[in-house]
Amino acid sequence: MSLNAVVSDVESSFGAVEPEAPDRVAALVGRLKRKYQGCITAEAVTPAQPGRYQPIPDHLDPRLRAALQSRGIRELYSHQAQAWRVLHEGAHCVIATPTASGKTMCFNGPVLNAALQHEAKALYLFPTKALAQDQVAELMELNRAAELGVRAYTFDGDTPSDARQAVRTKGDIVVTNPDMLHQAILPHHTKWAQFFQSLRFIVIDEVHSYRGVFGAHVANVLRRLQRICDFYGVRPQYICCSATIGNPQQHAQALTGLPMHAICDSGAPRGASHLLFWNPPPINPDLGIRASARSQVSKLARLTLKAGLKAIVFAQSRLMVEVLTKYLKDVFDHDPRKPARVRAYRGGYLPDERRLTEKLMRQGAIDAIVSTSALELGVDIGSLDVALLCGYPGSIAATRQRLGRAGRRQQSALGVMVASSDALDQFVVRNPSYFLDQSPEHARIDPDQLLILLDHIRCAAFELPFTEADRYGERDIREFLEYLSEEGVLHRDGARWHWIDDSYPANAINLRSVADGNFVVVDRTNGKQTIIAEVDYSSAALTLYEGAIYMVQSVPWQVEKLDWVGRKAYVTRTHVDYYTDAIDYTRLKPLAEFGQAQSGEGAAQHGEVHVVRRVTGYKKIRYYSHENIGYGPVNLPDQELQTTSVWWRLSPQAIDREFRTRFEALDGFLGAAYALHTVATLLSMCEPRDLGKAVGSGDNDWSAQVSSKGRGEMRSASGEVLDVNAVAEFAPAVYLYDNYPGGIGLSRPLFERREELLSAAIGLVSGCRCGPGCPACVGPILSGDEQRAPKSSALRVLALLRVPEGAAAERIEFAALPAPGLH
Amino acid sequence: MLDLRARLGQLRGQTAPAVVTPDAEWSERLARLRLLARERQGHTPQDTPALPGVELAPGLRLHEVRVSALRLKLAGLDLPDALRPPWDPESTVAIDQLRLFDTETSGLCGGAGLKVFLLGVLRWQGDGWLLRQYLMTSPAAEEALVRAWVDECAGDAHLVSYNGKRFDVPAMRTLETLHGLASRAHEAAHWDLLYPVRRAFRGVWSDCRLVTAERMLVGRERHDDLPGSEAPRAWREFLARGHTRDLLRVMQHNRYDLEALLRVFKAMLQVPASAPRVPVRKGRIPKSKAA
Ligand SMILES: [Zn+2]
Repeated sequence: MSLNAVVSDVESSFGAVEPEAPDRVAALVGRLKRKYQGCITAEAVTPAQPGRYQPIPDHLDPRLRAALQSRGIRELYSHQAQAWRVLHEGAHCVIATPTASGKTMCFNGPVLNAALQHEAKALYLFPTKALAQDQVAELMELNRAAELGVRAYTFDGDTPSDARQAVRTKGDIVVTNPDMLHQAILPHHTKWAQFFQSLRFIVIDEVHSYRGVFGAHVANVLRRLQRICDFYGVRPQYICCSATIGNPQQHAQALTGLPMHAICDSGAPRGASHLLFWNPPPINPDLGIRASARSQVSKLARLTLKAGLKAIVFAQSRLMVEVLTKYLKDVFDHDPRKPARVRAYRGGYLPDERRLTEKLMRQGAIDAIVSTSALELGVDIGSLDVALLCGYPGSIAATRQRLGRAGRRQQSALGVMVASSDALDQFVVRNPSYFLDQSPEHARIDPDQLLILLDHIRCAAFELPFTEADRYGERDIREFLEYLSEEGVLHRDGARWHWIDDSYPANAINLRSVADGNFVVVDRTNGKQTIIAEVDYSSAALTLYEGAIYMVQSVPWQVEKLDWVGRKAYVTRTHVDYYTDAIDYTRLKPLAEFGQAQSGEGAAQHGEVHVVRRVTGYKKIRYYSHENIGYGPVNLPDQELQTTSVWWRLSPQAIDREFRTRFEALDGFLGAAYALHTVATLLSMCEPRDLGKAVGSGDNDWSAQVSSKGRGEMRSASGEVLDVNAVAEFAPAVYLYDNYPGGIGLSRPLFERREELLSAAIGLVSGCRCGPGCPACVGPILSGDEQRAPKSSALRVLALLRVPEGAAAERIEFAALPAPGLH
Repeated sequence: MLDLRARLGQLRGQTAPAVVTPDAEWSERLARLRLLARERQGHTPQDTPALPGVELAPGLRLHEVRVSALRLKLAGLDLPDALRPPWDPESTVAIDQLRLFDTETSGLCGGAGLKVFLLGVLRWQGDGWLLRQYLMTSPAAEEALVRAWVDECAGDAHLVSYNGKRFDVPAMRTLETLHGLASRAHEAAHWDLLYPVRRAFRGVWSDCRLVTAERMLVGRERHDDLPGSEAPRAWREFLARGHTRDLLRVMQHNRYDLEALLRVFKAMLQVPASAPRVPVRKGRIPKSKAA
């Protein structure tokens, strides 16, 4: 999408953008601008766009033409017509147009036409079961409209085994997800031989969601699919659909390994949309403390609902979804006799609960829905007027997707991005041009991650033997095959490697996360045992420790017992006035070094590291006041991770020379880590959680973090707090690491662009107008602690690491942007 | 930079923390110890006795055994010339159409990666049973094995198996597809004895496995049999180290199964389709009222 944005600095053009015809959204925008001028740092208006149309092409089967006409479709949007033309010419294509621009018609038309005229088959891949089911419902509607007789079936975990045979042999269109393709279809491809032999189209929707680790897995599943297609002698055409990302063509090509024709110019009509950047008012400007994003969002939601408009609220975490839902329910749902106007929606809820919420939304029975990124995808929830983002989602693409949830109809819509006090949020809200002028991030995948590659080579070898000459992706994988032979999994016989193991490798590989085993949350209030939610392995330690308050639809349960091995958390209903937040710390140990370079008075390194994350306790936080009302201990197994990292260390001499105390140096390293993490996130165009940060000694002797009291604190490998001055050698290092087992390819480019990264971090910190340091530069400082100056210490650490003059550090755009400051 | 093997070695420790019960851990460690000990011994003659039969194609051996008519009578392995079993009274099948068969595979999970390395077929030829065992000593011979199967199923062949409809025939069909042999072998007429046995004895016996049917209907117990679940390991052991001892025991196990199949088949010919569901004492066949 080229956001035809009219950017205006609020001060200079207040009131310049007036709505032509007063509508309720525009009225709300006007009210917000009058009342909360100081909070709005930028406004952008995308004017309404009329539709552009083209006739339905002549080569279309008359039955299909009739079906379209019976549903009132007499012409196509220009991008639909373009897709049909490209596909008719035999090319692969990727369609990247906004939400609700009629993307499905881009592929359904050609697929149905080929099914009618050539009995050609199609495979549809959707990232989730729910999206697949929506799709089949839509296809069947079109099908019924003119009795086309095309058979479309979903094939997923819910498909009964006696129906599977019919899907395999009779389905013209099989709609499934990458997980089923990986675990059930490809390993049993011979049963699908008939289907594969006539396979003509492969449709992959929501390709932007296949990035990072999941994307690397899916790219490998598609390589396996390609091998199977080659085996059956077919060359299907690929049709990919994507939300707005910076590189739809390149991403679809990386995912499929095939050249793609990109269609990005939407011909669908659009209503006008308003976008406001909202910075909560400062409370303590010197410490950079502002009113919370949470309180601002709940105020904006109240104003939206009172104006008779419907809102979707996006929160950054599952916990925040529950907290915000509670605040809104306290206002709008205090009468239990009336149907709820506010509902929460997030991963971890049981499917039925989510389906119900989707249905209620479509029916217009709910006025506000509070969600995590779970609703970024195209789950059909009907039309909404206002999208409120509690915190910057971490990427331009995700922000646009969330904002795109408002304004499906041809009427005005409003999106408000409310910044938290985090550095990334503050950077974006103070430098709106970063968001408004830049194209969205590039989706990144690196399918050749060691462990992921090895996993899928296993699966591929199970599906078909490898020969000497075989390529897998672009790679010569003989070394992997030799390794698997040594493990006794493959047997080499002349020029072929055969699978001889007794296992079914796909069962051991989960595309969604590396560590397997979801936890179930079991409610045993009143002696019954009911499952109320599911939590994935990686977040279990942070949300299901004993004593934790676990919320579903903002109703609190308390975790009484966590059965780690059995993957169960037992909870009972409770009525407390607080929620809980885990305290964790991380230590790292380098295992192998891939690259090293001098960096000022220290060194920069890139390599493989072992990361241990431990949850040590939790805080109890009271609702509304957000004061900390207590702590609890947690005793859980460590979370371990082996991944790639980039790190910096200074010579002990430089530290001794430049810092009066070790405390000061430690503050400096922690502040530098905070700033480096922020700029690395922007530079990598990844989400903040994809990248981990840590400070510690290089040899795993100790690690450092900001304690609950806001100060630097050192802990030994076994977790005890250490005295900074008692450590024999004090040589801290600051690490940025890929936050996934095996790595996802973020740290290597960071190592290569280290100069740029350091300059940008220095720019971020030195340009911040706070005093001692603040959440927007080196991390929050508690009030009453202003005599510390982590900001200047962090600047010293960063400056010492920078290569001195001569080796001209490139300046990136980031550093050239206006220095951030408080208003 | 570490080489691939070293990195993999390090990474191996970090997959999902598996839930290991102490028992499983011990047995694994013992298995490793045994392997190590055997490797240290090197190849002893006991490990590598010769495989029977002749090489039919590179990597495929055929072992044939003939059992003459006289010995059959004595052993109780004879059958009438024409068969019309109670579970399929519409069909009449001549004895020389029968193909009693059983396979040994690299695993039980199914899918395209499952290897069938041993196919045993019992058929009537002339005046006695001819037992054929096709043994794949190299995965490269898979196509030859599949062709042998297709040949065995050709013409008016009538298959007899125990759970072959759900396991062995689909496994062979997968292999046919993999080797581009579109045969009609999977459409061959097929009596899968598991179904009549289940209809007659489900809920009467503790289970309906072949060894149970053999014990209950024929009164035979196996003593030195290698459990079928050991077959995948024995084959891998052979491929990796050339050890034939356990592979020979798999071949023996396959012969035991085929003999059991024949005896159970013969016994089931006497069990009416609507057998009374009463407990059967070991070795006795319930007498039907009609008989
Ligand atoms: Zn600051």
